Amino acid sequence: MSAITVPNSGPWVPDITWPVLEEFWAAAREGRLVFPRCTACGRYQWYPQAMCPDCRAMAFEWDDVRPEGYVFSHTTLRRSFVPGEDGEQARHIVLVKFVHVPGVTLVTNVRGDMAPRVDLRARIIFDQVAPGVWLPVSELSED
Amino acid sequence: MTVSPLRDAIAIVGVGESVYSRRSAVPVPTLMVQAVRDAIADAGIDIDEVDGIVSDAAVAPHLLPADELAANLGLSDRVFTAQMSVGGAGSVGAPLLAAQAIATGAAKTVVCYFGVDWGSAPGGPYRFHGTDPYKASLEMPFGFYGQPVYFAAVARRYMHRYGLTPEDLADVAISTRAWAALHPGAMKRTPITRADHRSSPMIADPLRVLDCCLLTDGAAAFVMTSTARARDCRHRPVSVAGVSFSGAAMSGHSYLAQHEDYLSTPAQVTGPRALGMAGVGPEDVDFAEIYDCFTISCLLQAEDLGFAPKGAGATLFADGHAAPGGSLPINTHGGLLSHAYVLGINHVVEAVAQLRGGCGDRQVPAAEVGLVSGYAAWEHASLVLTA
Repeated sequence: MSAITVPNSGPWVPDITWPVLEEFWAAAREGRLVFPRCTACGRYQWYPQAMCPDCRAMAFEWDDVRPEGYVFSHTTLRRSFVPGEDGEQARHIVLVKFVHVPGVTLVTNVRGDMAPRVDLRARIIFDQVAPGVWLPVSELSED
Repeated sequence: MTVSPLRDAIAIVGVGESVYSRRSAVPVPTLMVQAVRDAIADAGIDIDEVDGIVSDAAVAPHLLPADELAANLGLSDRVFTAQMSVGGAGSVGAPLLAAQAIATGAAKTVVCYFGVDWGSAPGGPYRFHGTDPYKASLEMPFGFYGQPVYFAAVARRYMHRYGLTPEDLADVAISTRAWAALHPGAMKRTPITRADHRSSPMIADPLRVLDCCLLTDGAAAFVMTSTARARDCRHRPVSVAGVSFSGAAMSGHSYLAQHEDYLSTPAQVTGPRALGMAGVGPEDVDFAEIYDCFTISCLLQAEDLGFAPKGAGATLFADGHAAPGGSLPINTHGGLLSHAYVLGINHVVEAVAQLRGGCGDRQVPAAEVGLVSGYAAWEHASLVLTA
């Protein structure tokens, strides 16, 4: 695997003022990882939606979780389809699951140029990519 | 087991297809009207007999709404219109809508139509994903955008779980191309080898260009009517023996990232249900047309439909079962990989052609039962057609 030569995060910046995810981005600015959790049955729901599909309650709270996950799957992008991005590139994308946060998969890029593998540990940290905008990124390790 | 009142209630009596190309000189909505006209003519019925229109709910109506199609055809009293799902699950599941309308007397003759301009439209198949704010917030900043990228993650997980190799994926593309070589209307007809696959550009590891479906401008349509009316039509009717649709509970804002295991599709529900409705099993199926947006998605559905154990779908292709002359021909027109990416309506058209007979070099011998599998990530339809 050749070294990754582009920034870990692409130029597509999310709109952090969108109310549905405001708290996610606010926590990210503070280096915290949060996911919505049903206040009735405790189920995590990601992405956010109105109703808990398990108990059908309609109230969620953002819950701080330990940012320690593992690589469930991954790909290395050779060509981006994101509007405005250059086609040719090489960017690792990992899909991270969390033992303590069932039902959640977080999409991130990778800090550094460690090639991803399934089951590698992924510690979620945050990188500033624009004023006030911090994106989660995975720091991979063997154990 | 009770027999479904919809079993063999309707038949497909006419099919029409446009020329498939990367960039159509004719506007795609015009191709759609032509395909419908051709399908009705193929059935040998009068246009005024059509009183119902069905399609997928996302792609076809965006290019040509049902009322505009009806206006083109000059239909004065259209009593039934319905749409379901996105792309493949919609076109393949459409006979479920038509059968309910026709069996209850709500409509007499229903046409299903489809068209797509993703060969030439800016942004192609990716653009509509970018309109979802969840995706724009939680996936696009990381480059997780575009169907090849999602299915690369699926393929990687499958490789980890079952030991799939890139050669296994190549064999799907090679088998499918071998069929396309026998179809004069297929967009890609030059046979390919494992070496060709190995040297085709990587898009999103492990998926290469030859693992991905084509990009197409094109349209197709098919006409359905009651089994009784079908007997007087031009061709031997092809009966809708079984049809089933299912939507899985998955975050509706995620195309694949939030899927539980990345290894299964709702075909594991719709396949047995459609086959059960038809009173047959996977072993009775003479050929299958499976939604092959990527080599990996074809494997997943082939397994979920019961043609191979989970994790063993690649043996269907490695051992030649799926190829011309094999025991279970799969994607006998060349599929989305090599025939055309019109999101699976071409799979229905091809199944009808095979069951009528007369497919020439690519005719499956003694084809009596065909299974069509239409996929749209969290939604799926299976259709069992019989001669």
